[in-house]
Amino acid sequence: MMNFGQEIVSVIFLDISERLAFMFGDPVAREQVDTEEGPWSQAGVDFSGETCGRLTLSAPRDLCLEIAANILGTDPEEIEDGPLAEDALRELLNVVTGHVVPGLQGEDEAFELSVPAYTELEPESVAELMQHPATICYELDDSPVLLNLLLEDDVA
Amino acid sequence: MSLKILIVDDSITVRAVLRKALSITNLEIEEIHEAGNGREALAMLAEQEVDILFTDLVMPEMNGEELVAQLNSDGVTDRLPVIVISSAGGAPRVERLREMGVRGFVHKPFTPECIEELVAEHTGALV
Repeated sequence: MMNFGQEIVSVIFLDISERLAFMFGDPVAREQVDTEEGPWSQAGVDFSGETCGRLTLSAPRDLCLEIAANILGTDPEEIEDGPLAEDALRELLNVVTGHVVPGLQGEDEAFELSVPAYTELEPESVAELMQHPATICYELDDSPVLLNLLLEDDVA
Repeated sequence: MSLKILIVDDSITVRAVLRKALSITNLEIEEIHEAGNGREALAMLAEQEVDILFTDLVMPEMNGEELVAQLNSDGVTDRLPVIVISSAGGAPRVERLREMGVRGFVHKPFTPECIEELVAEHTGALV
């Protein structure tokens, strides 16, 4: 069962994926996620304001290419596996986080976002992330996606 | 009116999407310039006059708020419409940016229609 923060993340992630990347998804149970689809990429954004924390978005590399292609309105074959795919994952997370934070702390509060970071994930990191209690699993256009919301209160 | 536009964003994706959005509007566009952060934008503006500037807020080296503050202190925001397109914000920040001369604020994701309306409104360009 999702907590308040995870519910906000879930609704917003699916809405933004549809509006920005024209991709459709659903939350799925951990057992249904196939993490063998590698290699995996991860984008992460830190946020601060009334509520502080970090949101990460992890997905197989092939999905990053699809996200880039969809945002740019082109075919995935036309996207080179490089900076554009990484940038598209970062930008999707950036927009999602920009909507999640006001959802968590209220529309009238100021907040700051970090420049989104990008990293490649080792298979063991994906497996670890999958088991983390703050991780929500999705299928986006039939590919697995993991979102992890860590609030400062959770860490303390 | 043929427009010269400057897009300031560290994301190559956003710059490409905004360029594409502008290209499918009815606006007559002469040139679109791109900068990856505020510092690059200031260097570009020293060499090149533009009719409207779109900027992100969260960028490395010099962020959008620092760029707007510099343009405001140089008196540039009086004559150059500056539109912020960003995910970051919150009402207090939007208010602060407006006080520094920002004419419009767009929360990502944006639509071509919204961009077209803003450009037309702030440059007087006909659509």
